[in-house]
Amino acid sequence: MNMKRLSTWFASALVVALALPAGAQKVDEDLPDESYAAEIYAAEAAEVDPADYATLAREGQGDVWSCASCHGAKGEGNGNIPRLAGLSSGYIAKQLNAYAEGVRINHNMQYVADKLTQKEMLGLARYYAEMEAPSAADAELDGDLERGRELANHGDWDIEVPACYSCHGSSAWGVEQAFPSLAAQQPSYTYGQLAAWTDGRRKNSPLMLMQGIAHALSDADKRAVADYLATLPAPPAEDSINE
Amino acid sequence: MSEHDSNDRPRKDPGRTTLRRALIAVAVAAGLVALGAGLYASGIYAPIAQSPDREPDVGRELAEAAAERREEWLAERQEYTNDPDANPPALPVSEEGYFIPNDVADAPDNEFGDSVRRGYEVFTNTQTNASQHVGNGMNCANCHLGAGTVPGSAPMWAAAVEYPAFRGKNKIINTMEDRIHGCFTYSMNAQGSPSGSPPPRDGDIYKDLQSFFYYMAEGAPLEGNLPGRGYSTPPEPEQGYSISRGETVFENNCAVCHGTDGGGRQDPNGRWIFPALWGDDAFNWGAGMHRINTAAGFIKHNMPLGQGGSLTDQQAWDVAAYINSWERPADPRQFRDGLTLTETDEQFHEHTPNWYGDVIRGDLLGDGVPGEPTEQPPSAGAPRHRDQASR
Repeated sequence: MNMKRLSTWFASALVVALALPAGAQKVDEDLPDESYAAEIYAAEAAEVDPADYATLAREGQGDVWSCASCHGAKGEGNGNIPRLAGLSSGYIAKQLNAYAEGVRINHNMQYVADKLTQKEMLGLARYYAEMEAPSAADAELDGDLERGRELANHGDWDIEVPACYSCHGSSAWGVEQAFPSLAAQQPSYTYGQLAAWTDGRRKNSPLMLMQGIAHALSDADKRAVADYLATLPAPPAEDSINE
Repeated sequence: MSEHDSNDRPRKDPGRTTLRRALIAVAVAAGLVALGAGLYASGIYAPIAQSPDREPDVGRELAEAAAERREEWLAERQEYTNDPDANPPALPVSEEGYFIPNDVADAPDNEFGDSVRRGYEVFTNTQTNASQHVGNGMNCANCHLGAGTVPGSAPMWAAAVEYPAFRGKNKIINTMEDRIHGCFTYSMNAQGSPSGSPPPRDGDIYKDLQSFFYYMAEGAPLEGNLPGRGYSTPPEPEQGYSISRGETVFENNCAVCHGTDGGGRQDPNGRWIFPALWGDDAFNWGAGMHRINTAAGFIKHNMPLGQGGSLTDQQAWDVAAYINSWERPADPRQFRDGLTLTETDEQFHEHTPNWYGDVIRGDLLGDGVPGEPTEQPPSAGAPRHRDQASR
């Protein structure tokens, strides 16, 4: 046995092993703290005129396709592509930054976000936050709506899951910047995010609140709550709330 | 590593060889552990590491097991009622040993059941269903999680069997109505409510809340001291408690929901979703939660929401000290008894850990006015805009 080669191999392995998590941490450092990110972006987005970014949202630019081509002309979403209309500007801008930094994984969104400037992200965030669109979602995952309603309204304290409404608001229309609207969201998207939090593909939630909840929910619970939330009335536009 | 290479050096010293082997073994072990940790952190094992016991419907199964246990208990009780020679029913408890309360959804379809359901509505939506007597942004269920069912969150099935009782707080025998009256006076800050006072004595709010508590507690022994009662404050840590350490805990664990100014958050409908922890929309200086020990117990077991038990005892005490180091609505006993702040401090705040009457950040705490180092004349606790109370 060649000890030199063996130990060199292991030394390299050690370096790689240590570098992997360190690399993941380094990306995080480019972004504001999870607890405050949405509020920080919202304050920055307030300085941007969303009308300047309507064309970018509707038509895209260069080799980047438009937001509307996937999320719909009214930002209503489709299938596992989320509704954007009425999400808080801070939340949308935070997600775009997370895609750009590789913290949140989705090849299409990472490609797009990578090509956007910070100002464009903020402008698009405002554009969709101020959009009011009727619901285009419906229950489609064969979830138990009664169970979903129970989870949304009351949670299930036997498995330490608080009610969705206890953070996302009494109509699931979101609470200020950090807690996005869930109402009228496409159920495949909601379900997909709960699954992503469970298996670690999605990590960006303040205090890892959603990871804990997603882990506690069974697959049937995830389908139930995603379907129930899809049946709720759509959220109002952000500026109609704040002003 | 290269100077230890076996190809280049004569192998004479067995001690060195052993040392070298040991070093390599340690390096290899460290490498494997780090490699495994790194791969785990990268998330590639996630799909197979997912705990398979989450796939069964755990929530549903636990609920069914609880319902089944209560049905058994009912059957045992009926048997005992019919035949005093039969075994008395055993306390219905969960696998974790906590009392299983009745589920409000099972309340009978009669006048009593109606009262139970009304009580539940008052408890979970106090802002609306007792709006005339609430002078802040609180609901009962903010501090009694899971609509008063969760162990370690002062569950009402445990409280229901503990009254009447003598309370040091007011040095008289308190009925449950007296106790609820106190909650409205202090935790709900009734002095700032539209009516200016707690619900009138003997009114339906008390009756319905008590029906709700009593129904949940059916089968619990009187003066039961049941496990899970109250907030069970962890022992005060050796380091004591610190406002500055608590500020760090607050910023890292609490502010995302309650706001950096502790003012809480409302949803687009104007409903309070995250309660204010200090300032005009919070509980007042007479509420139990202003005591650092009580708040530490609540926080330790219940916060952050859905992550109860995740903070250390030290963090819970420190952040409780921080939250309670800010101004909040005045202690209504000061006005009731016509006392100065100093007298109120001596009479009601001497024997517990709290900051009432102390000057912190140049602000005399308890006078209801932020930023003033001297005592203000008592003024009624009329609600003010919350911006005035934030820093």
